[in-house]
Amino acid sequence: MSFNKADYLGSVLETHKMKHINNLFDKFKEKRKEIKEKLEGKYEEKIYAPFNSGSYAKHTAINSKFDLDLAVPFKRNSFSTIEEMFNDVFEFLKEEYNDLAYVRKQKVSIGVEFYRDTDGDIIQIDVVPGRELSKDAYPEEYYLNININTYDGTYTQTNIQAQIENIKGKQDARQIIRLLKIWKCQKNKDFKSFFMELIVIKAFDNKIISGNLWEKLKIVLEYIKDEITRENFSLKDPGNSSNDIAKTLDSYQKNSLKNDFQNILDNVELNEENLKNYFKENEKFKEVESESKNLYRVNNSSSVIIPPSNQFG
Amino acid sequence: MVKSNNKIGLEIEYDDNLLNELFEIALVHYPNEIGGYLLGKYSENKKTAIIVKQITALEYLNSPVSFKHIVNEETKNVFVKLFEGEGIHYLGEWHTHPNSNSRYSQTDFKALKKIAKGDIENPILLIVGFDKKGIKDYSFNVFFNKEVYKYE
Repeated sequence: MSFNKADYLGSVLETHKMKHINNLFDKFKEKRKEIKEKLEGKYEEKIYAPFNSGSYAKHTAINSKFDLDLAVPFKRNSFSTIEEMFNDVFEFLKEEYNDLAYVRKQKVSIGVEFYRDTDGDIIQIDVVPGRELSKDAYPEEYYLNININTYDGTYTQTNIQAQIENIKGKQDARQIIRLLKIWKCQKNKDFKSFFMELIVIKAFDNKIISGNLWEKLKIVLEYIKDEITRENFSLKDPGNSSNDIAKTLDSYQKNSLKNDFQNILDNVELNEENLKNYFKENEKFKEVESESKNLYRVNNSSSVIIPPSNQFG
Repeated sequence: MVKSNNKIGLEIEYDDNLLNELFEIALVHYPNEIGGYLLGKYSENKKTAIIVKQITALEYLNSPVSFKHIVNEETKNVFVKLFEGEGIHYLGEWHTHPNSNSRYSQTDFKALKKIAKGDIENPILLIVGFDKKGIKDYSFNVFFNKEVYKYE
């Protein structure tokens, strides 16, 4: 049977779906809930409701590498500086999880990495504290100042809700973002996922992207390789228009990305099956999809099955 | 007729007359939706659901865009009788979409999710999109691993 690039990429996406790791993912959610409750207990009226952010909230998560993020919006008067807020949350989590997890400061978040559990799983939750810009402004605008963990105590303005909104409803773009995240993860590339997300969305905004999954991916790869090294190329952060995310890559990294994508396009042109060298299926879950072990499941076959009353539309 | 979904490797088997029967019932209730239950059995290897018959809901509320059935005592007795007498049991649901297509709605999805929490984990859902002239399209779907898959 001939190799079908679109079907293959479909399988790559399918085998990287979060549904394959439901049990593990439940543990992540449980830990995030626990941290959320602890923070609510500690900071009470100093915070607004913490909310889920990151790739899972954006539906771009892949099962081979993920963490869960929890954004914690603090009120303006809670702390006098952003750095103080960041350090206080860090100290609190460190104290709370002293014997259970490795708590560390990351660039804009506090990572809580739980020690390996009895199943051998490591759960990581990233907590992103942010402070509203002015008193009572957050519920209206959702802007937050978040700490940048450097020696000079700088911070930046962002709007996590706007970032989540920016990707809502963009199903086609999300598929390509997930494919590029899979590539990035498999090839150990150092680009930020947020960069990938914005550049793919920009490709969809600027090009007519249609056809099957491979055709869409091809157009996006061509767009990125053609545009990334242009002098004026920018990627506006939907959470802060003065943030140019394109600048998170230096010119060496941009050229490297251009070459990577050119290589993918050339080599797939040469031989379609070369696609497998760049986007691998998650072998762990491949069998589940192709196997014929699936069965109709009945929980009680010895007695009559009575369905519930139900509403249909 | 046999339909399958290659992704999950499951099949359904049904008699072509089933759709004719449902169309006749659909016309009686036009322009409102109507629905009921699919009954039958699973094959020995549990890979095929064999639909043997349908029962139209005995108690229900309906409109052109909704259908709600109530599983009352009379309905329960029918299920018991068929199970004990003919060895067939509940496999899933059917309902109509008058003047519309056979795509499942969010309400349908929620209904399947609710059923899957009970005795069968993979309920079948047949949706018949039709108008007065005939069946426009129909779809057999199954709830599997928290998703809905269509049989082709």
